[in-house]
Amino acid sequence: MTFEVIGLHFFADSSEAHPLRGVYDPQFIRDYAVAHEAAGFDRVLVGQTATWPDPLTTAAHVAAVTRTLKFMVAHRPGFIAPTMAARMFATLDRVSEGRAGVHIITGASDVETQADGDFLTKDQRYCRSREYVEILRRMWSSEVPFDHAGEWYRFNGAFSLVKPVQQQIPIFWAGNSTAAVEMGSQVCDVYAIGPAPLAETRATIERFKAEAALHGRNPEVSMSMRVIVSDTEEAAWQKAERLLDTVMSHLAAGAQIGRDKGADDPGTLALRRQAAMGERLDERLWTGMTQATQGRLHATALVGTPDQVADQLVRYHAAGVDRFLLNGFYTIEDVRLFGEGLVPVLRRKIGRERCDGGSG
Amino acid sequence: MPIEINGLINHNLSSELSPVPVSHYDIDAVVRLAKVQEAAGYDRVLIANAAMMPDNFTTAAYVGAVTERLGVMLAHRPGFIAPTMAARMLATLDRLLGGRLGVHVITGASDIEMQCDGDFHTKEERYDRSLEYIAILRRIWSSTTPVDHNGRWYRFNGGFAEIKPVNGSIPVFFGGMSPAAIATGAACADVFATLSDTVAGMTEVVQKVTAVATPLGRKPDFLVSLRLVVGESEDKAWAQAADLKTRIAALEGKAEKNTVAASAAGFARTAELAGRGERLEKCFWNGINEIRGAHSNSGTLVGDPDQLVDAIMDYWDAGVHKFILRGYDPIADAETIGRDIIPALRRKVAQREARVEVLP
Repeated sequence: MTFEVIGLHFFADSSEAHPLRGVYDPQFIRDYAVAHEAAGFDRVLVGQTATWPDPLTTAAHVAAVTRTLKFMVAHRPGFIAPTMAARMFATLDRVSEGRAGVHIITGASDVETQADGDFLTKDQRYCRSREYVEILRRMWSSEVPFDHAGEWYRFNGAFSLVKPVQQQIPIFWAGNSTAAVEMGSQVCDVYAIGPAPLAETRATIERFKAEAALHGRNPEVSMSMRVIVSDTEEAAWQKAERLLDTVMSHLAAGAQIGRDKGADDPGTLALRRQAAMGERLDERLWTGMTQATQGRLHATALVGTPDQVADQLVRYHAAGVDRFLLNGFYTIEDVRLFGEGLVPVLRRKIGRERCDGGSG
Repeated sequence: MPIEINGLINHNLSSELSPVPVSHYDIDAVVRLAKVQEAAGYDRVLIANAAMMPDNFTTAAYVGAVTERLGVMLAHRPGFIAPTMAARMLATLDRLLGGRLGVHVITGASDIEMQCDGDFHTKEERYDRSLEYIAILRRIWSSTTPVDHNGRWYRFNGGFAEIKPVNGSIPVFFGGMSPAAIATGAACADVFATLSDTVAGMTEVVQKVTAVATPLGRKPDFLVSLRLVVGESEDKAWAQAADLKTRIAALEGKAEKNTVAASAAGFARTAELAGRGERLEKCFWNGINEIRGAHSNSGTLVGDPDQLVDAIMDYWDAGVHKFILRGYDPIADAETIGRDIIPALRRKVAQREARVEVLP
């Protein structure tokens, strides 16, 4: 199992605390990646939506100014021929000398996929994503051109002259609908889940692993989590409350924050359900901002000192989470802050837990 | 109008004189080629794309991080990426290149090549699609609100890019020599681009395309791709050319041929040109076209720097204002062209333009 600390890259110095729209800032893009690397992050997620700048291009650019930072490039199947996408990621893996990763996003919303001309249903999209990933893998490994006539794709003599540096580029997979779990468990390397209380997280992981076991597979798990840390627990909670005030005043002033995925988006509904369970779950899982924004912001966060937050993350690790996608609310400042405390403390604790548990 | 001088970046240092396997992706070579051509005063570098080849978005984004002012002409084949997404990818790359991106739309060398990535349309259909594709790119680049579209080839609801090209749009270069290509290029190209050709050939191309474009209210510019053999004297230049021919002929058996592209109408034109004799016009040389065949795009001007500048100005006078100028050694020849040709050519164009201005 690969323990990894993953950050969230962004193309402008923007967050809920200081929202900015319509800006693509190459200098910040480079600085933010370098800051992640310096803070000890192993990898960054580079996001994708139907309106944002392109993450593959951004990742390739950032690869030139970093040395060890790996990528988790969000990628929505359905808009690029999979043979071409395979060559894109193989090339990214070459320019970065083995640092590429693909995060397959299938769900988003019908509204979002239609913006780029995809009118399939969500269940159809998950079936297509499975075939898409299989094609990516075959392109990365095949020594000869091959034909394909599948349910979703057909081509003759596809090939990639350039192969990845990594034997296989890791495939992350998101989604918790029945179709998402059924399809993802068959093909992904890492199942990516959102923040939830411990018990729920354990259940989510068990469900996915049980499904994967039917196919003789054992994917890893990555969990995303927002984090608010300070020197004392009290200061951390005060920081959370201040942050909430800031965000609410931005919203009151009409700022666009977050992504509107539609009222029936399962992710949004899940967050609302979570928020309804209480404002502080498992002692320090804070749903205050999620509650105040009706689930529109993916803002459920662990709050505490670096030590306390790390302890809680270690509990998630024991529940089966291998990789943590940790993101604050203050972009580069938070990345540096995490590098000073949370990231090294977490590494130490995970290392100790592994020695004690002997799980290696 | 300033002259635009373009070079070329391959994904390794391969050349006719020193072939390297196509499967070798060498990021250090990419960086070196970019830096050398930037220092030589090139405006942009063409980065090619074809089925099986490494991805050029990724390479170009990396180049953007290691250069200060070099632009990129990105070869791009419609049909494999949703145009709304491609518009965002190109806009992202343009931002990373400080507004110096051009896109070179290639509609399809051959049916076989297109089928490798799953496109089974005929060439005529592909040109029709390219026309709609380019219109969508431009609309996504300029629209400040989400766009609905229901065309012959594409349909989407709410297509949008949050970021726009630096200069509002990205110049569209367009290649192809078939009747469908000329009709389409005349209707939508900013720059009509051809393979190597004589002044007489380019005069014919300019007339043909302009005759179709004018009634449509369009006035595309023209680009020709030429290779140069620069010698200290005329005699030395021709001696270098003869030596090149011997060396390349000796290696010919080992060279990898671009067979998938060989059926394109533009290459047929080059083959016809090669059949017309080894030396044409002032200093146009078919020596390498003869041995390497139509696919090699090796129409070459041979001479001392003054003669070459003079010969290139004949193209300028025929209405061709943009050039790809390269030699046979990707590093050394770029340096020579940067020293002996580019500054002299820019001076000559400035003089010519000043004279035009004082004429009544």
